[in-house]
Amino acid sequence: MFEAEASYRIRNDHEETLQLIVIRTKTARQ
Amino acid sequence: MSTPEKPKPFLQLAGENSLIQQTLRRCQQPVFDRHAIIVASSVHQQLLATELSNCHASAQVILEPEGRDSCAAALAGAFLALQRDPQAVLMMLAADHHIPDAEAFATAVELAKPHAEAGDIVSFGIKPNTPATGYGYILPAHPLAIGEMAKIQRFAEKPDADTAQKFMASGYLWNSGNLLFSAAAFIAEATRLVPELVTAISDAVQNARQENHVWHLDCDAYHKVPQISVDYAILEKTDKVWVMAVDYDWSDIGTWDAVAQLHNTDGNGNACHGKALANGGRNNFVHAGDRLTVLSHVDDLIVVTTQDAVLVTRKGAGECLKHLMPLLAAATLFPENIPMDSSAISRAGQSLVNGESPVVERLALGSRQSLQRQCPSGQCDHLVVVGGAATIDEADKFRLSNQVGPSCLKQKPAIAFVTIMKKRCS
Repeated sequence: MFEAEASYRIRNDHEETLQLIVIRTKTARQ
Repeated sequence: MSTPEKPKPFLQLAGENSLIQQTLRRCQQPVFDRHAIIVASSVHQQLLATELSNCHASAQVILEPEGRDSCAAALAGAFLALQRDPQAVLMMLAADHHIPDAEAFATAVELAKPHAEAGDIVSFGIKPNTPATGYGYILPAHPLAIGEMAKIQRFAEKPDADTAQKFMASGYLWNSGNLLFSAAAFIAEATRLVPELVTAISDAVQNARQENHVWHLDCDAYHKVPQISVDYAILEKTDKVWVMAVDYDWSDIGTWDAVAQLHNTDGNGNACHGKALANGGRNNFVHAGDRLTVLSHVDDLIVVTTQDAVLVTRKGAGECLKHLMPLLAAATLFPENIPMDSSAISRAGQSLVNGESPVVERLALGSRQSLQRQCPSGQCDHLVVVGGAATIDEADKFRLSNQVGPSCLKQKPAIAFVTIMKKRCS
């Protein structure tokens, strides 16, 4: 079972701009 | 052709200039203030600066750390406009639409302006010349002649072919998505209908980091902004929205069929853009850029070639391509020659081939900025770092698929890849 919802934080500790692509998919069955 | 790095507004799909340059030139008509407000993704800051320079335009630029749909963008623009002029009237324009007759467009705006100044929201409804299935429609409260306005009776989603025929015969207009409104009145109406959205946008603008004419919206405040279009958040709920009937040429260039229609054809109905040749066939469209592309003795095709990809489809099938977009985005992200965690790629890939729809988002964070994100139950985020380096806080609560240190992703210039999902609870 997975918990209802979780949060995480993305930080950019550097001078250069952080560029991210996020792909949200369903979790594969374990 | 349109990619996360270079989306449609920055492409030359109709004429010699990019669509955003054409939009900026349209806004140089006398009815407009010469300093536009542009809301864009922070990923595209450099691209936008180049476009502004190329067409000698000046603008105030609002950069979003992540996309939050049109209502957030409209409100951010409205708050900035209010700082400039408490009486400001805004024309909200998509940067990737095609309106060749700038004067006819400006005349319609001039006609609608008193209504906007009085506190109404004016939408521009295009009189249909074909029963298009690719556009949303608006039904005015009563039939309109060109230049007349009425309250809106209903908004209609993109119809099927039969319904589009009925719409065309019943006085419906194409919904151009272009709006004219007073900044103060728009914010007041949004405050009544979506107060939490207005509060979050207001915080993001007030705490924005300003560099010359560029406002970097505050990441944390903006992340709390609900993702909703201006249509759903406001237009379908307010009684202040009107539609003006107009008949200038307009296209949202939403399909390759629409692009093809903007090009002149030869005697056989063929149209070519770039290094292209169509010989011995009829009714083809070729968009080739710098890559020589030749069609011989085929009919009714659309062929698009770029350095990275080739598209061949039948004319009239452009709408079907939209279903492939998530798959194409993922294919672009997973080139074979970049070493990444194979199990994470496999999971993302399986979701795609099983027909589930992944959501692909592009984010940018400035120096020393951070962003809180929620990962709903039963879903996981696959993060691909394509520039800079990311640190994931609270990562000990998650299963991380990458093997590059505890939680710091720094792999340059190659791509780092990490999957974030909740650990199992026993």
